Amino acid sequence: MAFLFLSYLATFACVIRGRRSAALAGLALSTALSVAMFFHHTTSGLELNF
Amino acid sequence: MENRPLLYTVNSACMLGLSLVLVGAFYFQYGLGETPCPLCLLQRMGMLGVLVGLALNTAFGFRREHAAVIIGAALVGGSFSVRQILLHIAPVEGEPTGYGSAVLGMHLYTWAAIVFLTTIAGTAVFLCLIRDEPAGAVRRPTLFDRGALLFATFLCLSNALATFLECGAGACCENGPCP
Repeated sequence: MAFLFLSYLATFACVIRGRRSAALAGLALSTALSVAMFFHHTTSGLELNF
Repeated sequence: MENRPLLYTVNSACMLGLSLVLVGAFYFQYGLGETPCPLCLLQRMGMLGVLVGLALNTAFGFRREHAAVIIGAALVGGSFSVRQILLHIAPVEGEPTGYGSAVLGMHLYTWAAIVFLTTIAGTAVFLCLIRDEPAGAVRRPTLFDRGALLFATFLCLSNALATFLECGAGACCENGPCP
């Protein structure tokens, strides 16, 4: 999951460098990946009762 | 009508407050030795999404799109929190209730849900007070604004490193990488 945090970090970097469109696209991608990871965890069959 | 500078200070104060919530999560992780679960990490990501929305306000001025970003990230993070609350809403007799320690009687994921709800409510109030900055506007942030933005960025980097040390590059399970 560390790569998900890295995608958020890249989004912050875009904000700091003044690239608004890239930041919005990066956040959309990061959020989509987070949701995908959520579904991976809830449907993977692992005993993830927490 | 221009936006009042006080509103930008409040925006940065919110960014700092939310960053301190993430610092608190680190205290539980390293101070109390409570390994964060995957849902906990996903909730941290929701908070980082909210922080990105606040950072967009800092860097480019208030825009309705940024408020939409904040509300969207809070809804996603709040969904993860509610999922975890629902997993523990009916405790099994003889087993410990909830996941991790409680703070003032509520577990961290319940506090996270409150944080996300407060974020949505706060954004609704902000939407009543702000005016859209013109397209292409770039703000000159104050020292406080820049400090809050860099602190949030540093916390994002810290979370990436902490998660890599816990789980490696792959997915996380309860106590480290998934089998």
